[in-house]
Amino acid sequence: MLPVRAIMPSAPPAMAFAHASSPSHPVGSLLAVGAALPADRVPAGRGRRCAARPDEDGITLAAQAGAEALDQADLPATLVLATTTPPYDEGGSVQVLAELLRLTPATCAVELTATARDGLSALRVALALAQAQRAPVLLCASHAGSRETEQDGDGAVALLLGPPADTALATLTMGPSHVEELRDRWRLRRDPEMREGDSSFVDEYGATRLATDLGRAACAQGDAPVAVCAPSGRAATKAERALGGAGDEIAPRTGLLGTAHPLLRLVCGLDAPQIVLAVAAGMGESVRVAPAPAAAEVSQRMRDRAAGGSERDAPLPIPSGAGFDPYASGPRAWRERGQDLRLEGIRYGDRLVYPPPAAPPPDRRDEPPVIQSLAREGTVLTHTRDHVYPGGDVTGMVVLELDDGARFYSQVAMGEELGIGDRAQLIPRRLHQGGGVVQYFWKAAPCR
Amino acid sequence: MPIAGQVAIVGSACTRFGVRHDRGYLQLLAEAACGAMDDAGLAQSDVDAAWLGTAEPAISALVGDAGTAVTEAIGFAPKPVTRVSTFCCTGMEAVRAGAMAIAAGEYDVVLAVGAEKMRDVTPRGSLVARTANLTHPTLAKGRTAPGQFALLATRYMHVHGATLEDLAAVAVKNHEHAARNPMAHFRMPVTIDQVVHAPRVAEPLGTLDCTPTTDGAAAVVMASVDWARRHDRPYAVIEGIGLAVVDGYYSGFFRDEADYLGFRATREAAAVAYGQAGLDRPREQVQVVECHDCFTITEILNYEDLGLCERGEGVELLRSGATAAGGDIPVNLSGGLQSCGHPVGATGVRMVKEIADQVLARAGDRQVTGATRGIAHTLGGPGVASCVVVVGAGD
Repeated sequence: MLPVRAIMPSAPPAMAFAHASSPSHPVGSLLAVGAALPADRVPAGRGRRCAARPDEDGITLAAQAGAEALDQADLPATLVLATTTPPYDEGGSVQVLAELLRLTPATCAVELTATARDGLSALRVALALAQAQRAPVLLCASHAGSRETEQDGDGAVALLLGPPADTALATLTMGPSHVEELRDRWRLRRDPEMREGDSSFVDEYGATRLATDLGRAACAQGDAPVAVCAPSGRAATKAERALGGAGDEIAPRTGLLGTAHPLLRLVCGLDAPQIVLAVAAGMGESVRVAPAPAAAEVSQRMRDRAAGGSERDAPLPIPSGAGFDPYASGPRAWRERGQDLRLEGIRYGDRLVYPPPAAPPPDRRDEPPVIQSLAREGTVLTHTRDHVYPGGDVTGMVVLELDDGARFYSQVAMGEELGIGDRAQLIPRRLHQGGGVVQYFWKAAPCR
Repeated sequence: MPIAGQVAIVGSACTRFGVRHDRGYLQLLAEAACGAMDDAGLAQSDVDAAWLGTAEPAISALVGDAGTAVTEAIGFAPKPVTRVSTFCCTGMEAVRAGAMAIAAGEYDVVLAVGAEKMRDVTPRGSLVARTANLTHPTLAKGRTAPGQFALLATRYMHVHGATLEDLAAVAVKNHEHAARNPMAHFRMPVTIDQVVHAPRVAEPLGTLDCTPTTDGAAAVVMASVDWARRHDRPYAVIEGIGLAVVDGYYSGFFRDEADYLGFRATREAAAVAYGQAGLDRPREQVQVVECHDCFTITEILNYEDLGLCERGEGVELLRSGATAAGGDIPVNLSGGLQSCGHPVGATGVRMVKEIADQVLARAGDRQVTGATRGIAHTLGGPGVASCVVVVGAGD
């Protein structure tokens, strides 16, 4: 029998990164940015974190961020969703996001859901696709894990990416990657709670080592400040400081946003060149960011958003939902996905009608139907707070006169208040979970 | 043959409304139907056909899902029975369907019976929860009946300056009226303070702004006026009857023509019924009104939609006392839905009976002296359907 020493490495295995010499890292343009950070901030250690309302999740946050990135942009050919908290373990979540964003059925949709590093993995995929297809790609990364882990916050970031272009907010060049078997945070199928590795092992051999080595390899291609993201904030800060950085200034304001966190740091740091690293579970990704001057304003806006929000002692409690087991139908959800998710009505002359009627009015029988998405903003015509609806403790209901003339009767988003004459926006939210599916719909919230 | 002035109400009956754990659906139906036939001096064999109004048979294990319930309850075979359902207008729609058959000359005598068993939900649970679970997965979620009418209350208070106390005054008035109606669900008076400070259901409406959940049944027997004269029966006459349906259940609240200050369906139905009856100044031409006060705000809106005052002046009409007992146009002397309750299929029939009793001068303590014409009105959907009946004194 060989002595143990003979078969165990006497030190952590040398990284021996070959990344620096790789000539094939994807390069592309950052064309537009969106972010959705829930309004509530709750205490987290010495800082605070974003806390989603009960009707928000990884999809609704991604949809809000994606909609902001797509504002006034052409529809992307590809949608990439990276989320550490997919509502569906199996069966996919990206298709709901595609509908909420009103993308075409021909959109190529991709979903990554494994680790907090996936935001940057998704960025690599997205940039490669944009480069190869020479067409825009929308990347949405989201996380809604604040109710599961005390250091986590909730939020989403969306990047609209394209092939290299002179008019971009920034040029993004993927850098070295890494993969090895090392568990720091994981959950087996059907595990009710997250599992975490021994902190002394994880810190020494996991995120800190990986990020430090990956950062050095990335800097070998050109020095720049390095932002490090990892499931452990402590490990990320240790690594970032080892690389000469100041540490994560965003996390104490938002919490760690899972796979969205590296992208949040990317967009908050668009005022100067930087390298962003994400490491988790033995895997790592890096990207070099070269912003254009115009990106500084975006960077400031995103930092302001991270610093904003309103303080609460604890996340808004989840309503009991007692007695609420709503009917659900897969065929109905598919048939009516246009009105439910894409918010489509039918225009007859100067009238936009929602929900779409089954048949045109008698004087419009000969006209082809003109399907039109409803405006997402309007003014409150009337409202109530319903104390007996079983879906929530008190359910706000509102009628909006939308800016395009249509009417919309909906719930008020949880935690929001609206009065007659207020300006309001329609935002995607979870309506309920019943019959084994999550029902998404549009709710009203104050314009901010 | 036009319906106006041709159809007589020759018999009517109503069960006691309330939490009727002592009676099942079929028993309530039978009590009302047999009572109406007794009142008309007729037996089942004298009646040619029947219409049944039951809005939600699923509540009572699908009994009442078809007209067969009448056959089962009163032994009516093999005569035709048809069930109708138009949300809260269901009972009045049964009356309208039967009246049309008489006017068409198809039958000599028909029965219209409305029945609803609402306090025996199957499976156990609240009606609101049932509705919330069964209705449209997106368009209906968050809506409840009080929540929908609360939207109009909020808007009306904002635009016309009505107050919570104004809304409460409707409940106070109708509960006071109900003290004289032995068939009403609630017969105790309430105060403005009690109504205003009751637990909120859907703001600004509280529990005492809302109709209770109630079991009950009512029936009328109708025949042609010629038949009533030939058989020397006392009768009231249907001078006009109009049903208006302006939209669907889910879509109504999304339509841009709604101003949330009233209901087009009521205005359309009233126009039809008034046209048939030759009414152009209803405030002066009728002496008594039963209208659909499912919530306090609804009665104020009904004043306007039924043409008892101009739009926006309903709250002033209420404040004037004109719609209280002893006023010049008393409304809901029965206690209305506020106090009688609202067994959906039965309500419209009960209202027609109430007005028929008034013009036949047999309304007991509630009698309006000299009443010769009245209006009965229901509103369903909510707000997308309405039925209005003008009932006058016969010969």
